[in-house]
Amino acid sequence: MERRSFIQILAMLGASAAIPRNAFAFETKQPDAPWLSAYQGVQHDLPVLSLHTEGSWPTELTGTLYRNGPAMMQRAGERYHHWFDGDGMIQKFRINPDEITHQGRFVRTEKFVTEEAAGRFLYPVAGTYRANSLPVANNDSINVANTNIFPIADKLLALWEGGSATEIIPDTLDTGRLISWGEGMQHLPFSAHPIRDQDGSVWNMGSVVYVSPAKVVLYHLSATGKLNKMKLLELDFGGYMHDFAITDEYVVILNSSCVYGEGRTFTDSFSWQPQRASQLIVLSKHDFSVVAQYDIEPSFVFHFAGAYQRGQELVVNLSRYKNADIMLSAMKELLATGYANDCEDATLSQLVVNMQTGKSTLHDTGMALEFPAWDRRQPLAQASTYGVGTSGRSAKLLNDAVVGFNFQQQQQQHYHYGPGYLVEEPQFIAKANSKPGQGWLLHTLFDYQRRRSGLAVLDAQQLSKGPVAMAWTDRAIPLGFHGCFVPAKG
Amino acid sequence: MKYTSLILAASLAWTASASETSSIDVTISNIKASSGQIKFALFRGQENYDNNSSPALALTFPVDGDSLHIPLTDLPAGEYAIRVMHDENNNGKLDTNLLGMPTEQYGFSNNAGQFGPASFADARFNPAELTEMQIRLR
Repeated sequence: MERRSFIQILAMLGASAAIPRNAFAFETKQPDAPWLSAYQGVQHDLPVLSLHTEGSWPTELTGTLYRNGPAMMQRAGERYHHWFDGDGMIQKFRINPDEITHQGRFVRTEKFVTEEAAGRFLYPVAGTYRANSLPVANNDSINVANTNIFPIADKLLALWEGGSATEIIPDTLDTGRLISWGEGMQHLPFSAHPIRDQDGSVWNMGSVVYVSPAKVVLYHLSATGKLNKMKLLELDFGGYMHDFAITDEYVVILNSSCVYGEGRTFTDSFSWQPQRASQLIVLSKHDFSVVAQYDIEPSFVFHFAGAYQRGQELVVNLSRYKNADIMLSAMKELLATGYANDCEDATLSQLVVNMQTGKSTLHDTGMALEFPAWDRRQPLAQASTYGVGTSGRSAKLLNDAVVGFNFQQQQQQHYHYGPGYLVEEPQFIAKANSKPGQGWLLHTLFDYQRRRSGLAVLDAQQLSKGPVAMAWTDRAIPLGFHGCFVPAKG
Repeated sequence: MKYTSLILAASLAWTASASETSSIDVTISNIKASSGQIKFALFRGQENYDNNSSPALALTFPVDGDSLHIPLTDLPAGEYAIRVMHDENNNGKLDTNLLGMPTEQYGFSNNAGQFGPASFADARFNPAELTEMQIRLR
């Protein structure tokens, strides 16, 4: 291996000298910005506890909601500056007709176990510049497994985007092995957003921006989690990638205009380059060959809301940001001050590319919508897209609403919890024996005035009526990123 | 595990009078796998280190526990650096993944090279100024 490329690989792990932000300083901000308690984190596993239920819980929701997110945000007075950095904790909500319980358990990554024994942070992380970190062997030395949890073949995978998937045992939340999908694939990035196809097989990608040339790893797994095929694809530049989309024939990735260069940490190494077109890259599902590549309007995207083919057109739905402030500065500002007033919300947008002419058109609904979800039984052209949004009455970046949008009917829906609440990613769960489009939206939320966490379920076709059932615990569960609902067997 | 300094001293490629030599106890820690062997290489001077082909001292140890103690004695005056790897599958090389990232453990003197291979500037040490060094395999 080229020495330079190895240094570049590990440079993504970001480390070195800095003054740690003091945990005390973080707490002093909370009287003015009480929502910060959602980012406080916890220091220990959270044992099983019953929630107080309200309303009538639909029987279709008998099962388990798993979620993942950064939870160990401070040790020995040192606090991470960036929300992306905290060690992952799996939140497990077991929902039965007569009881709902919650349990939280940290993923026992190599980093977590070593730091837990030491009682302090030791390793570099993606977004916080810190002092005297231990040397890093490979990506998984600092894998925090904090972004998503994905079910496959009776197991769960705790996912990060910079390294391997980590096996989690569903019943106990015990941590299993790091997954290597094949020979020479140890420690390769496996994104936090695998997509299950209609046939049960699973697609994924992994972004490798820190080598020259930048690359993306493409994966296709069987329904049981065996590798069908993979490819290392070279890119023209190393744009940030978090998620992707599939159609019947294609895998669609977006090489964003937030481009990797040099910096003290992984996130600091990116810069927003609005003069550079983003690239929409269309790959064949058959062999991952590049079918087409289109320059599109400079974009920053965490999450896709699906894609489909319409005649000669490729339609891609996105929660699109007009710049990369959210990742490059706003997340840190929010944690440092409680506010990120200059950051714009992602808006639900639809990119339509004529694959014959290469001409693309971007339709921005103007509706703030992140963490998109939809009924996967339905053709995407007809499906409503749901997600978290804002009432406009809370501070920036604080999602206090559940929203929906139907492109075909150009109709919006919303339910505003309003200031005081932080709403998290909804899961679309089909109603029993229902037509496509009929289902429940199940989501977690945090009531920062009372410092309590909860679950809510809404009828997806009647969002404005608000929750039909809720459940609360006095426990403050750290905010998370993504999760999945696993119905009870039988 | 402990090896006598006599073995190591005899392996050195040069000779020196006792008045010009130093000793240092090196401990290799955090050895994870129980299989394979630890390959230890001591380099003298930057050129020797950068060439990486003919170390002043090259030793191989079977794995016996999670640490390894290597007393180095009678080292002639000079600047040195150490590379260590754990050849877990006995294939004689540091295995890597498709991106060229090591998949077996390795380490450097001073635990240098936070992001991978250490430069001589970061890994160098003068045995006249130290009596012991711990290298934590990563």
